[in-house]
Amino acid sequence: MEILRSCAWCFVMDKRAFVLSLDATLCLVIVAVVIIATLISIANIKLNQHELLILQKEHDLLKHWVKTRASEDEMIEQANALLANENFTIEINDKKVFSSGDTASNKAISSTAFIFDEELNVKRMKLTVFK
Amino acid sequence: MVHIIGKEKGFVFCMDVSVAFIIVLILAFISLAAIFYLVEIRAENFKCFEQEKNAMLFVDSLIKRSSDQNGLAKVDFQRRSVLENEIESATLSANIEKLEERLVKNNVIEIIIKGSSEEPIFKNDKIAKKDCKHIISIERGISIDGDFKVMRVVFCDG
Repeated sequence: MEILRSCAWCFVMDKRAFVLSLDATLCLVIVAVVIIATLISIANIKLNQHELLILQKEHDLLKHWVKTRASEDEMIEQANALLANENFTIEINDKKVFSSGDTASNKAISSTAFIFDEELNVKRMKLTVFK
Repeated sequence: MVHIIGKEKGFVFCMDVSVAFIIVLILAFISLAAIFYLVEIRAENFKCFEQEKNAMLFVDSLIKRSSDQNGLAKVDFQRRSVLENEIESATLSANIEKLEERLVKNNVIEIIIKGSSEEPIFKNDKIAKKDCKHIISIERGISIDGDFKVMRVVFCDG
């Protein structure tokens, strides 16, 4: 037993077997788990341009809305056409006018534009796409 | 663990050290194989990322550059400015025809204006979709004669 305590791997002569002590086993398991987890996480990192494309789409919509002074219905229709598979909200003057899909996520990409009408009243349009 | 025998010159590795050494060797070999595999995956991933980026930049320049500068955007001659994202339907076909060589060079398979009819306004006859290893599809919002439309540009990669 004294031998078992003092070394990680021991050869027990009379029983012809390798004995791995508890701390050595734990150590090996932890090392293996860390290596496997690191490799899996590295393999799963996928670079893509999805966020940038979402931002570009938001800008496309806001540009058009600013130029055409789009109505709420037009905004909803056009946003649905361009952001068909996304969860998004449209806010006008901080009031949510449309919401599509799950918008509870903390991760979101948002763009804002301002329209001034003939009497110089400001209209703040905010388009937010959630992950 | 490691002993020097007095009369015989040499090291004697006891069993625990040998077993540990073998385990370390096996782990190192597995790690090396995994690293090679990962490098290959990352390289492929990075290549796709670069191609996606190029495709996005190409579509962006297509709708932001004026028709006389390898783009499709309308020009306001009075204000002397390019009207980004605005396209004139009357000149669209002519502009696409003018850009055909560039579109083919950049592996564009087709350009579709989504709406009632989804007939492609450009189709590359030299590349078949099924022959592409990876297809990149970029959708952007444009304004054609004041109406909002979704333009989809499909690229062939590989």
